[in-house]
Amino acid sequence: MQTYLDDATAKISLLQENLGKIIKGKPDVIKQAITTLIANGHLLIEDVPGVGKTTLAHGLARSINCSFQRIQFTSDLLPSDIIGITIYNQEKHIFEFRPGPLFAHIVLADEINRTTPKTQSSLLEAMNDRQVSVDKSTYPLPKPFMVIATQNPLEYEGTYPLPESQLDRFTIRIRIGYPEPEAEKEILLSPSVELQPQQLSPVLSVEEVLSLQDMVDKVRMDDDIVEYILAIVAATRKSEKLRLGVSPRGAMALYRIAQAFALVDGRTYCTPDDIKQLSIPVFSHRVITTQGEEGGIDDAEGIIQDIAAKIEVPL
Amino acid sequence: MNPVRSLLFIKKASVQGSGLSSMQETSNGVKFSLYFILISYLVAGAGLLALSLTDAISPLFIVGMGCIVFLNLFLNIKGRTFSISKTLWNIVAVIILAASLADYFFISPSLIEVSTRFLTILMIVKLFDLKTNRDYAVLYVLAFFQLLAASASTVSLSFLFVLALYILTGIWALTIFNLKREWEEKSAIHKEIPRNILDPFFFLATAGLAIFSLIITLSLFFVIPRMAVGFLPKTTADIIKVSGFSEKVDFGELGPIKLDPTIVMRVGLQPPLPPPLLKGGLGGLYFRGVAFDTYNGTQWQQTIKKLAFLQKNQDGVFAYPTRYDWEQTALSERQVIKQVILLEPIETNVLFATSFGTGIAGNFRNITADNMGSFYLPAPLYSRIEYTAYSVMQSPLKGLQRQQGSIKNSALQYLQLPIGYEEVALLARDITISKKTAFEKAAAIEEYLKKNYRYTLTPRKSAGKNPIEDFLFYTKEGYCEQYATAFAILLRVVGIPTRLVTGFLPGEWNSFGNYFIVRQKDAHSWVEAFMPGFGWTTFDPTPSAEAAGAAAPATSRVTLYIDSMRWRWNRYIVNYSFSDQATLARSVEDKTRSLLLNLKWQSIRKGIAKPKKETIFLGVIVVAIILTTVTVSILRQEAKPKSVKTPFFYKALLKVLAKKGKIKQTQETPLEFANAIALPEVEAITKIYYDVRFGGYKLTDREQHNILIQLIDIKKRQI
Repeated sequence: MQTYLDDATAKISLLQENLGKIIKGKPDVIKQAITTLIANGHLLIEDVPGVGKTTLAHGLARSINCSFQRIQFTSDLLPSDIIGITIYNQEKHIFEFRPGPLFAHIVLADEINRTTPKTQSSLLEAMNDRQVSVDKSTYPLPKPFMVIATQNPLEYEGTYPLPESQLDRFTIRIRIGYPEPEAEKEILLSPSVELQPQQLSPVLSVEEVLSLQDMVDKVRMDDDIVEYILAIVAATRKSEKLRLGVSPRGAMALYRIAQAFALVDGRTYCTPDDIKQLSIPVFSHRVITTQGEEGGIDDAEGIIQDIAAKIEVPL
Repeated sequence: MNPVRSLLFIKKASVQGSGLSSMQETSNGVKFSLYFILISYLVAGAGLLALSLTDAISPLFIVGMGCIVFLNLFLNIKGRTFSISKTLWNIVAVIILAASLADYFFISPSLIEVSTRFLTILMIVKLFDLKTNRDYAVLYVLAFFQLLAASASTVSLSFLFVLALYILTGIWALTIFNLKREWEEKSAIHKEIPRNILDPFFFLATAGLAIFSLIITLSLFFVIPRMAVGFLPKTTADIIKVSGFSEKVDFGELGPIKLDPTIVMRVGLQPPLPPPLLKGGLGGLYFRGVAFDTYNGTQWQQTIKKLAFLQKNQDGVFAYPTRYDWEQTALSERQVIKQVILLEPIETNVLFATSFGTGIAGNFRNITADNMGSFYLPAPLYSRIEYTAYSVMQSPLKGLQRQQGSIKNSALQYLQLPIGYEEVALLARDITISKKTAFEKAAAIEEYLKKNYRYTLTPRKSAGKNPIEDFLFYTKEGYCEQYATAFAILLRVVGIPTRLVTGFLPGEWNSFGNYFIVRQKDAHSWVEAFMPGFGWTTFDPTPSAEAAGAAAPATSRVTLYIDSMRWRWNRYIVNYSFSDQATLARSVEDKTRSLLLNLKWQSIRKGIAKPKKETIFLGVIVVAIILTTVTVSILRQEAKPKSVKTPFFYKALLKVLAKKGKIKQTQETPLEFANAIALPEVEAITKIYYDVRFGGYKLTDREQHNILIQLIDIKKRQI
């Protein structure tokens, strides 16, 4: 037990260190991104432009010795631009599938809400089933497969809000936020030293990431903590402030994320604190408040926090 | 907690711990294990005590075993235990079993006797081999079986006390036993339980628990439906020899027993009678046994006695048939008295009832009655029984003096006289010369006897022709037999039919249990005379009924109280039957109904259908209390399984902090709580708590030790 933990901690701290080189003063954000990776989940980063969303996604991809694709979502992007296209091979006289940029270990979907719902939805199957169906054939995606999407807050011009089904497939939604004044000063004063994500050297192999994901399964989750998760989920469904509560997929996501987070935190078991903290980033994008989107992200997070704060903690 | 700090902490802890804990261990250790041993022996003692109540084993055996137990206890406290190997123990057990079987087949026929002896010996051997927890568990089980065996073979009241002792010590023992075991499992360092666990509060609270479980047991005993016969078996008690109730009574037979205080029966009355009637005497109570019709000069005999089986009526009462001559008995007020009689085994088949009995109810197959108003069991009694007798009271004879009438033919049989009583006849004529009616004659003779003769239990011998002349003309002293016989003869001489009746006076009234204690010395004989136009009437020529028992000092209140407990034990436990249950249910129903009727009546009388405000208020409070109790207990039950997993040290931490005003909210996670308190020790314990509770981590002894030290430290701190 202890050995696998040591192994995992060593690998995770390598990743953390590496990412820390390009993201200054945001250890929690780095932690959450790594958590999502080893939880075999997808990450949605939502914030105003210029706080390092893309840098984080890019840096994470670069830290692992794996294939990486970046797709810039624009309003005229088509599903085939992402998934791939079947073209006629004149030499062989057959139709051939040419995989799109989605066929990579880590896919950065930049500014995902700038494209139409039609294109956004083309990610659904890929994210959930880790495969792509084109015409009558199904093509598996590489392992691990992770979508990191960034989006601007909804009130921005020229955005299409992501449909609920799409949002539900993101394991976690995080915000980066403005850096602390001191960290920002450091960023400003040392532009020459600052690394670009492209320059990061990989610290983990694909196999190592896969083994980390296997370790997550072994993290101990007490029955009472499962009850605690279910109590929070049930409360979101009953809450008067929410029009749509958390789906079973959401509950599963929290379970998995909590396991991964415990491992990142250097533990072999989950605590009620993991659940209480993580319920906010895991749940807040999955629910719909009764006031619609007007209240925005803050509103949903506040509601989830309130709900979680009222549930009895297992002792 | 940072590493340096925690290092320091451990160091300090170990320095403190080595001195302090070793000191505590010695003092507490002795205290705890001493308690444990003492109480375990008490449990074993309760088992032995229970067996001693039975007649199954001889007192000598019990005393011997008791001595061994004490010796063993002494050695055990001194720390000198014998070690018996497991094989040896098994061999010994088999030998004892074989010996017991041999005992059963060749020596003693009673299974209970043999099994009690077997259990006792087994227990004694076990006492020499108390090492592990399992040995103690076996000891408790053996004691339990002893109690069971005893319960099957005794109906003594003392069993209740032994049972109470067993339950009390049993609960103590099992609680301490459990504590000991749990503590040993949890902690290797602190083998002993801290001092404060076995404080007076512990013993008081567990005693409360014992009383509670006794109450529950008793209520179950009363409520669970049972067979028509009392549940507990009735075994033979000491048989008391009582004379005067066979087919003939020798003159002077009653004399010697007039000093014997042995209790013959206890009689409870329903309805309760007014105080004057409780005293006995004319118009009072006479527990009537047998009547005799013929006197031959030395003994009274029953010559015209005819027996008949009684029929059970629809109420389950063997009713006295009206065709017998009790209907001629002088009964003016038909007040029925129900008597619950607990009769000791007195080697007779007579059933007693106050004059005049109309019926008997009880667990009997059949009852016979004779033509002189007495009731009989089919066979003499060799065990204590309880039955109910119904009687109709005879009213005092006021204004009956002038009544005239003829003597019925059937009554003429009661005029027999022995030969050679001429002088007695002359005396009778002298006394009654101016009297006309039978009642006047009887009253005159009664008065004459009461006035001119002296009551004594030791009459002198004299040279008379026969005992009656002795009494009437020479010694002029005697007791009830002399008085009654003389009276009967004197009346017969003047043509009034009489019969001699033997029975008991009410004896002592026990106001604690509301019943009479009737003893041997309350045995009495009196006369029933036939008054023409009226019927059989009770006369008691003996000067003072009280004089019969005046010689004995009054029973102390304590004795009376203990006896009332014995009465209740027999009445409500040993003989508790289905009919009693039905009575209980009926009385509850009646009381509720009358209460309801009363309420209704009150409200109608007031003209407004409004119960009193206070009543409503009280009712609401009672209902609220019941509901809260039920809800709280249900909630507790639901909450309990959750807290079972919580490690004890975290619970202790929460307790310590709560005493300092820091109470953890249920929706607060332990870490949030720890952060809010901001004490490094609290945070450290919380983290260990997480490891143990959610990580399945098992604490080492050292870690456990450190936590305890830290807890003590937190306790001392100001927060």
